[in-house]
Amino acid sequence: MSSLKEIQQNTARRKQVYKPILDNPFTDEAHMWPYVRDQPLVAELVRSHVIEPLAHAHAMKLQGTLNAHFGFNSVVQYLEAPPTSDSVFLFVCNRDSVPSVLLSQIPILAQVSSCDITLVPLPRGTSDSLGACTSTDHDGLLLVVQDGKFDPHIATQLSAHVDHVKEKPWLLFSKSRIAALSSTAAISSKSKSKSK
Amino acid sequence: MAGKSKRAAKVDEHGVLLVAPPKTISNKEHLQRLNYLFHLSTFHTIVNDQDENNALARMYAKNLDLIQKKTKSSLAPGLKRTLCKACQRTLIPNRTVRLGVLNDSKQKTPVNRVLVLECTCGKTKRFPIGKNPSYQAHGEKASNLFFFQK
Repeated sequence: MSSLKEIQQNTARRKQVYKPILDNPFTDEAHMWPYVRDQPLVAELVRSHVIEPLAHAHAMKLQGTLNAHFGFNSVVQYLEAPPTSDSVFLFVCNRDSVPSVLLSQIPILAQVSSCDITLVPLPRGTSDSLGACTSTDHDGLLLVVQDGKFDPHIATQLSAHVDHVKEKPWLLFSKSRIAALSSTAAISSKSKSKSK
Repeated sequence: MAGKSKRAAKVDEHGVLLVAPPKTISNKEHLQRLNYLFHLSTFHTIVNDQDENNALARMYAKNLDLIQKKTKSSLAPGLKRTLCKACQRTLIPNRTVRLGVLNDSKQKTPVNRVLVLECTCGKTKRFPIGKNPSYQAHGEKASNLFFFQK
């Protein structure tokens, strides 16, 4: 009488195989986004001084509280040709279900753009509260221009707690990111008969 | 064989024989060479912005493509997305690619949103992002990847 484990081994039709794969050195998820030192404080600052005023203005149909841009198209358009030389804050909901192919463009765009950008990754769940600020698709992206309307004290606090984007990573040679990609392959009848 | 304890192989619920990840990689030099070519191509695309044709950067990317095919090496989806298949340009936002999210449906339903990357040569890459925003390709999922070098 055979055990359950032996029956399982005999019924194995495929085996796990590994294939070496080369990843993009510039879109490393771990080093792509700047490190936020005090995440709860930054989240509270953003909620109380950016998202809530914008949501209130949207609900009351007011204009001119903050110079803000929502959504991928609007943000990209601003960063490609910034109309003013003011520094900007780009808030990104990279922990929410925003398409990764969309998000992967943002850090490179921030490094290439001519304006001074502070990338602020936001904690999980912020994407829903951004929805209250605008009626259009926001894609988890909010760009706020640091002009006279934005409190300079809050801007200083945000800059102090968020690391700046690694400047010009293409000038430094980084080691190749090689991984083993797990996949499955059919067990050939020959090797099966040999093992028996 | 009596002295040797044979470790029992594990089989998961789908009938797949589970194997431990390898400790070394075969043909590591090929992948390192491809990585270096990608670095060169990116560097020349960004730094040398006076050349509209990006001739040198494209030559390096073309070499990358040829060597990858010749050596049967695999590239991650994130790397392949940054190379134009038509003109071999490295796709850098604000330099060689125009980005945009389009919605061609009549009702403008969010399901039909498509990310379009348009290269300088006119070739476009379209990624449907509306249907499943959390979609990841098999090669992008962290559970399928085991990194050797960081």
